[in-house]
Amino acid sequence: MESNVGTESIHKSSDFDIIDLLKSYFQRSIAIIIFLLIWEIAPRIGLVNILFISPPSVIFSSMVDLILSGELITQTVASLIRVVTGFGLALLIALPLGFLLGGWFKEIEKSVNPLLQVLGQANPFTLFPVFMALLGIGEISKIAIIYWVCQWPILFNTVTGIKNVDPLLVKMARTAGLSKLEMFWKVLLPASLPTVFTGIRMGASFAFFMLIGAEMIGAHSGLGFMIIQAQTTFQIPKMYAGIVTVALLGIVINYVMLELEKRSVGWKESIIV
Amino acid sequence: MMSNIEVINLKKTFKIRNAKNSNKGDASSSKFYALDGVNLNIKAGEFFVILGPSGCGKSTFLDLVGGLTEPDDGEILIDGKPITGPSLDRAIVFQQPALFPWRTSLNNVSFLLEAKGVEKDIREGTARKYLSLVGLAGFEDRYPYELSGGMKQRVAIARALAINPEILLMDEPFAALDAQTREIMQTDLLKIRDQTQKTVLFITHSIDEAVLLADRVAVMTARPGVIKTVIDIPIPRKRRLSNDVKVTPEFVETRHKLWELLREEVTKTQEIHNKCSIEDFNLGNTKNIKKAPALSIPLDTRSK
Repeated sequence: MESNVGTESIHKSSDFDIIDLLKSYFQRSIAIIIFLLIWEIAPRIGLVNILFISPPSVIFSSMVDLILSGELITQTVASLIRVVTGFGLALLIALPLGFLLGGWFKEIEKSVNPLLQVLGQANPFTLFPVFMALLGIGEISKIAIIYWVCQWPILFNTVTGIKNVDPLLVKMARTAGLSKLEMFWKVLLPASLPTVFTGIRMGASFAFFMLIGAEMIGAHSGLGFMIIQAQTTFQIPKMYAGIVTVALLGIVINYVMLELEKRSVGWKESIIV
Repeated sequence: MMSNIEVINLKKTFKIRNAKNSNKGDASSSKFYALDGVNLNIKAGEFFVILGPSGCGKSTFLDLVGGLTEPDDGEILIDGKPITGPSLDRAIVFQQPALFPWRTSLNNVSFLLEAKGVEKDIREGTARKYLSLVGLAGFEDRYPYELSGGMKQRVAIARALAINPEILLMDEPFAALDAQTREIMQTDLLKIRDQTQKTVLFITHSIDEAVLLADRVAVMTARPGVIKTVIDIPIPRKRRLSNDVKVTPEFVETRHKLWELLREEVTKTQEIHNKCSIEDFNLGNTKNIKKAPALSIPLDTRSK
């Protein structure tokens, strides 16, 4: 009897769940649907010039063509290689540097922090010509500028994260007589991870911004290059296909970062909720 | 295993920057004595409470016994051997639970066992055992944010007990808890103490807590901190777990006696605080008077 009641109530609640789920999907997608509809209809009925604003259906078919011809894939891969290399370099350099400055060399950190803040504040687009002058117009200058942009949030957040570890946790760990290395692995690193992750996530999105910018200014491949080239040759649907691809990539990257963050710092209440 | 603690002429100074005072002709000597010659002899297996007004150097004293800071003068001997630093035969429970938020209760309790080099299988069993000792069986996989304040402090106590220390150091462990939880925790601590038989050095500013828990109570003076008197609590251990212990004549008398001893010191600290607040924080004056530290103690004694 009891189990019967149990399954019944479970059944009921799952029915409710489906309705709730549909409701929430509807609630979250309605604005996007209306936006796409307006976007589709407005150029077609002549509200806006169809030459400048392609309707989504045209963009979609253009994207399919570009995928079939292989161009979109090639350009995306070219872009991803740059962003992954630049971002990876930033992780390799800025993370350890941040831990060292925030955790061990606090006095040095105090002296270099103002300089780092100034460097970090410089608008990277204005620095791009400098990078090109120094490193040429090849891949290196693009990767270098991406590295440059995303190292700052990673570095600053790592320093802050490690400096703001609850001193009581450190004191507690000291009673256990941990070595410096153990203290880092068991206390400082996990305790600073949420802040560090914020920096990594910011770095990833900065890297992506900079990538497209750099490719638009001077490159012969990549999504940014494709967008600019399509614009100058007046292939408007292709241009939009590039824009949409960049947007989708941005969403994917953000999602991946959030997922990673959830997995590694899932103990943080605010992230679970 | 239990150890005795001998404290000989312990002194500890702190440097403070008093630039604000320097224009008032104050000697800009930036040193004050947190502890100025503390002498104590804590017996093995004893529950020893240090009672004092806020800011009298109680926590400094505990840090010194824990080996977390070094004294400027004097020494602390444990079983006749001087302290050289933190050690796993002295476990500390702080006022805040100090749990690692990324570890479950079980893994938090295991932390000190890991540091001690206990193997993984044994570690887990021991951690479970002590979690159930503090009444948290079934909460092994909870993260700290999923626990109440009292439960967190229980985990912290389990963590300290799990390494089977000879001395348990407790720095106002129940001060941050609400009144009901505090009373329950106090009784539970008495039971745990009976089961585990440790030397306990317990610090508090609550007279009731001192009388309820201690075998002996040392009253500490206001800054600079020294031991004013040590008194025996004439209530047998068994009687303390009964509900009406707080209305027995012995309890009331002892509490009164301690309050008399403490009152002078409390007034002194209040004066120090007020002086500080007038000199240093002219603007924040009202705020400082509001949180006058001694206020809780007279209320505490009048409550019954």
